[in-house]
Amino acid sequence: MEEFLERRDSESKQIVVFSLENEEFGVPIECIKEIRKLSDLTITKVPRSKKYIAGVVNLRGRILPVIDLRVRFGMKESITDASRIIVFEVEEDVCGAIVDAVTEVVKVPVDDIEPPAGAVSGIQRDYIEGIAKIGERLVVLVSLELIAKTQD
Amino acid sequence: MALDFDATQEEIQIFLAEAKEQIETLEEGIMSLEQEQGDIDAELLQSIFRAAHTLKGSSAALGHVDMAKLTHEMENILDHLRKNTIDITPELIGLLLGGIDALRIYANEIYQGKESGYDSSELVESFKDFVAASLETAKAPAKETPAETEKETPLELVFPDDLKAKAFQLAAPDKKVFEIGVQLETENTLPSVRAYQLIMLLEDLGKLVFTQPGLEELEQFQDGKLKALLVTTSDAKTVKAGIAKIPDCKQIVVREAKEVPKAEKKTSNVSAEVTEAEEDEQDEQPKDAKKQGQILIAPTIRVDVSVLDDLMNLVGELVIDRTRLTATLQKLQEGNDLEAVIESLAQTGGHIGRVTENLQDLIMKARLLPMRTLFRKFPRVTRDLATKAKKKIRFEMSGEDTEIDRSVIEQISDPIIHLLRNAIDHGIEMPEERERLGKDPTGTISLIAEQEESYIVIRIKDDGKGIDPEKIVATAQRKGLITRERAQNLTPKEAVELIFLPGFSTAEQVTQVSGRGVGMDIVRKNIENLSGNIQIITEVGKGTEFRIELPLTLAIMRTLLFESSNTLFSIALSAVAETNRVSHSEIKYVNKQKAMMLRGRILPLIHIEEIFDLPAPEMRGEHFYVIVVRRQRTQVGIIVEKLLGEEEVVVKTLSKLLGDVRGLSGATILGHGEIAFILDVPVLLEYGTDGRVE
Repeated sequence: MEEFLERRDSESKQIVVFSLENEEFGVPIECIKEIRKLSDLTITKVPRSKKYIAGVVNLRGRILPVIDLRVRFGMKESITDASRIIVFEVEEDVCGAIVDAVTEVVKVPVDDIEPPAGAVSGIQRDYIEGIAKIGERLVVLVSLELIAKTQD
Repeated sequence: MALDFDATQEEIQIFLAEAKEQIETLEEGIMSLEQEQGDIDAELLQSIFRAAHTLKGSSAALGHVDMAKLTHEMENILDHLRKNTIDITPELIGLLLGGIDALRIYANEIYQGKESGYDSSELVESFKDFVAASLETAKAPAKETPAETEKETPLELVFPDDLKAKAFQLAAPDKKVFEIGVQLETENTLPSVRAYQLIMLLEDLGKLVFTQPGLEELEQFQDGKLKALLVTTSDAKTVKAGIAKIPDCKQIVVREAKEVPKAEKKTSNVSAEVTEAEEDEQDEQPKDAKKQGQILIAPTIRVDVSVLDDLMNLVGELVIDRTRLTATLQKLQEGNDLEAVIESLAQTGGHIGRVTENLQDLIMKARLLPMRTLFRKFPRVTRDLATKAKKKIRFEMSGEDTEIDRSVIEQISDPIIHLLRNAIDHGIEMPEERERLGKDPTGTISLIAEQEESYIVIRIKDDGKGIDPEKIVATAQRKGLITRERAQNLTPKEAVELIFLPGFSTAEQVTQVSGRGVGMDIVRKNIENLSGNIQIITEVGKGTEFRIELPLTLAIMRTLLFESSNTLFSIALSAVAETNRVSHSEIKYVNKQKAMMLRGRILPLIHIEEIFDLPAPEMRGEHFYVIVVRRQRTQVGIIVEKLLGEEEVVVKTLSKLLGDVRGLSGATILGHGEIAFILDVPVLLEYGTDGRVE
């Protein structure tokens, strides 16, 4: 397996894997600017903003909106010590997303990524870019940019 | 059709930047010529002439033949004006302004790289006809032709001694002084353009001490003989080869000059010209930089190098502070004397405070632009509007040097144009009417900018008929904007301010010139969006003044900070009329709406929580606070839990990703990194009473 990955290096993607509830999701590493411990930042709630907007944070003098991905995907709000904020760019904007935990960064051969078949655990198909097979595990690849941009 | 020039993109950019500057100089100059009328300022004429002249040379060099032809004719007319062989008439001014419009079209063609289909040949003809006609009727024989006699003289290279001496002064050991003579083909239609190219070329080669003709005299240049003194490191061959590249050179002489014995000082005409030419050269350089910074590449900014140096120094100070902090941290880790650590922290903190304050000041200054950038287009706008409205108007401006934040400049232009339009259309009376009233038939409109504390005040004043409050009330009532009772209770000032109501200015009063669907309500809204405000001072029969107050800068705002439901808010201090500590018993209910009496008037109240759908506050103590937000007649009291005091904040926009956060215009970061939300004043005012509802 190791050897196989090495050989196909040019045709593999580095995926940051994070968890929500008991499921695993992934985002290509190039889409992520940084990952912060949620407890390091203070979230300020924004009056009248959308339910899934946890609030805004002050990241080095920039005020970023933060999306609670659990709420966005219709799960119950839950914040623990392991919670992280994934910071990513959306067009000209920078945005954060709260996830339960960031578990690992893996190299996945492109061949092991399958196109999305349909909605997965209540997440709209539009946001899903594919399903990555990592050994026996299935990781749902999502587009944070679309999730942040689409307002519903 | 695509336009193709033998020039790099960079050269085209430079040409465009310069062209824009020259076109503006021309326009401004011609406008003032018209204002001055009989009394012609020779210096002004000279500067206009020079602008036309330079434009001719550069457009010819670029290869835009039509533009060169057009500028040639304009230059010709200006030359006649300069020599006083023709008179300034409104027709002439109109022609010249038409020429300027055409030049703008051509400049735009070059910018877009394709032809617009515009043809200026008719205009060129009318220029020619005009000159011919005026010369015939007026001081016809004035045009001298001394050039004719010199035409056949051979190329002679004699230079005044004092010029040569000057050249040798400039020549360092590695530099030589060359005497240059060029005979140009005179059959060529525009020998002056070639001469211009030659002068430009020579200037590139070294220091050009003298040319005959000088840049100023190129227009009269007819004999095709150009003489020059050049100080350069190049050798004679290179100079000659360079000159030979320019077409139409019949004969070229380049020889090294011999040093002359020091002569006593002579103040001949020629030497005076030299110093003048030098001065030109000197101030040309920075101008170029400015030109390129200002237009075409609008988002860039020109900053004084000294400002950058100061910024650099301040950043250096901050770096020192960082080192100090690291040192302090180390002391702390080593468990050193706590008091020393505290002392050192306090010092560093104080220092950082001062440095950042200076930094803030400097950055604000770097963002400022003079009002001139905005004002320069108004004389023309006013003239065109006045012509269309058939009114006689004298337009005066002052305070063009007043500086204001660049973002404000961009947004205040439309409101000012609208107010100028109003002044011309509705303010100034027709000339006959004015005469009948014993007024000067020419109306005066003034545009004045000045700084008052942290505000910039822009005033648009006319000496027209003023605004009649009774007529305004009648119109507002007819349009159903106010009730009858309301109409009866208005003070004259309040009545006049009804013109700011949406729907007040409608098609009925829209003349050809004014009102393109924008009303005074939009003007006010635009100004309020800039955290400014607008007032009207008017007297029937005497005139009207619109007074616009704008903050010096948008990025930093003085605010009142308060807290409610564990959320920090701040509101522009300019919108806060007063704050009051109020007890529960003072709240009354009017139609289920909370209100209180404030100096005999009903002040509608609203909890900040209601505006933002926050959980209803549990009003603990006996008292709470009311922030009275007032703009013109509209007022509302915002109930909040705790006032935290005044604070100067840096305004940051809120991300669009948050969705529609109505009522918030931005956010800011406070001293300890907390985020406070900035309230959107116009939205708050919607909860208040205004002129319409009671």
